[in-house]
Amino acid sequence: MTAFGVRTVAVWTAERGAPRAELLPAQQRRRCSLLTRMVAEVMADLRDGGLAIAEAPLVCGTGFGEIATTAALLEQMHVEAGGLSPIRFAGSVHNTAIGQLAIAIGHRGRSTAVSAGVHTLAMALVEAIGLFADEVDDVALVLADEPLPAPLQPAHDGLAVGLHLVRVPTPTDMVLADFGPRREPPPLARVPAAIAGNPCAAAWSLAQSIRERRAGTLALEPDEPARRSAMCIDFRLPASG
Amino acid sequence: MGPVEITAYALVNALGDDTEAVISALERGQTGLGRAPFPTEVPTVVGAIARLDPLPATLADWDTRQARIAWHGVAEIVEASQRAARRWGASRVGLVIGTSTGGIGATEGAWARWKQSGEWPADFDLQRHHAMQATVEVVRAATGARGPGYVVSTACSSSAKAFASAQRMIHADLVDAVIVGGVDSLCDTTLRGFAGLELTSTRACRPFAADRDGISIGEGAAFALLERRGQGVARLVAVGESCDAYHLSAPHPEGAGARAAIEAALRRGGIEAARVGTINAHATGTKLNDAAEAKAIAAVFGDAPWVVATKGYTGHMLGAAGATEVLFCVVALERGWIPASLGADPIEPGLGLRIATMRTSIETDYALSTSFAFGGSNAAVLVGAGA
Repeated sequence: MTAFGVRTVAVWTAERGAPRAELLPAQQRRRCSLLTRMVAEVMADLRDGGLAIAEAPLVCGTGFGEIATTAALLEQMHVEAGGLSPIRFAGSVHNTAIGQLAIAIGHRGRSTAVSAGVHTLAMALVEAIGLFADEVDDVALVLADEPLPAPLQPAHDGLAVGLHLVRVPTPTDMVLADFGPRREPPPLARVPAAIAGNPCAAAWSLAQSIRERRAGTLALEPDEPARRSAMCIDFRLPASG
Repeated sequence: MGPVEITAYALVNALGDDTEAVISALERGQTGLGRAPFPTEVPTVVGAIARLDPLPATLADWDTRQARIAWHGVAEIVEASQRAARRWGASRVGLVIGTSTGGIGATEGAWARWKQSGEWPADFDLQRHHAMQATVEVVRAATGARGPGYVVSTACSSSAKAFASAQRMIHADLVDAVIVGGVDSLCDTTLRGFAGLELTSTRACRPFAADRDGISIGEGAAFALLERRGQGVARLVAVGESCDAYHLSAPHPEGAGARAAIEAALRRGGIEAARVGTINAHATGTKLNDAAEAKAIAAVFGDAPWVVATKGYTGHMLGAAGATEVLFCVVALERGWIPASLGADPIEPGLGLRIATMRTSIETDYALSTSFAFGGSNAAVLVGAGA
């Protein structure tokens, strides 16, 4: 069964203050959405942890993507005639953050944006495991959703989680294993109320388990009635831990 | 990473409401471009699906234009998907769907009603009507697949990259079969968005033509069933992916990222460029895109393979374009012909490509489809003839 390691974990929540997004040049940063700056913030943390961010394949999981920019376009459609803002329109796609990052850091390899609602964490891990099967050694996995703009509901805070995943764990890496659907999965871990409605909330629980070096099994998505199971993953402590 | 079998496929777009109707229109050289199916102030033509019935009553809560296209588009491979579920187990059949618009068309309507009434519409559900994942859940309901299911959303390369994700999912032994494809729906956001970029043409788009002046937007769905083993009509050999790292909405002028994706597909598939007999080009009909893509193709292949541009038939289906054009390559391998590149004649001089301006017989074991997108996202999908 699949086993891989986690070398670095990074979390951005509103408690950290506005993301500095130092990977993005100032002129570019000013035009970027909060989502893109959140992604840049945790990617900088992964770089500081030793990940070669311009080379490693990048997987960005996001439920609603550039939803604030999208809402701004919908508002513009209502109040103005004619074509929409070209900067906003080009910046409204789900892969805006990885595109902006690629420009800033010179990433010319594989990168992708995936979306699966509350299953986004589990499905982004599917994407990462697929890359490992393709002999990729390091994957930058980022899960991020910005707050929903009014009147969209439910209101929630922004959250970005970055993970440097490694195909072959060293003795100091936390190990994630046996990823897959389980019948009678454990309940979803509780998360702070401010991010409970965020599609990527389960990634916060994953990050906490890794940071606190908790062994055990974690549910990665709500129990899915249609499939009568939920994707889960086991945590194993580092061999040296 | 080895090839996987393409055991069934389905196409729905402005050319027709089933696969044979689409292929027949391609063969006859008949465009599907015409008037938009809703009022818009953008002076352009589009590729609209003529008739879209509502979802069945059990799925009425999910009913959007996007969902209807997905439901209708996958219908022809439901039986094959259910056969795959019996063969491999339903939880071993995954879903990877490319979309760029998702349900934004429905959100447009909700936003307008909110502005008019001051109340957010009670019948609008963000998860079921707007979210990308809604398209996956509708296809899941249609096919009974219970494996991992998600959307790849990288704008206009979405459903080409979905083939890469699907192939890896099988190779990683997470599943044995994947329903892979793309779905996108016409809406005013995309028409007015591309108009704001000054990229829409007022007439049917003319990719590679000397006087091309922009794109025509389209909608549609394309689905394929990939299986680890089986009697395939064709094989998914390899996908090459790259990023321009150049500009959010303009291609690298020399086609550097496009070339890298094409070369990666050939390298990963272990296939020499000379063995690729035809290329379905991304070819949107804009000055910059077609020129950059021509440089990339010419640098790798010279003028040897037949190049065909098909957006003059369907319009640019954005997130559904990649999968549609991969399957047009499958049609070429199966039936031994490629359609005329509608609107390409007279071709811009100096592109250095062998562009098919009429329906052309071909004999080849390999075909390539290219897709390029906002964010500098590039994908090249290499397919091979069935055994």
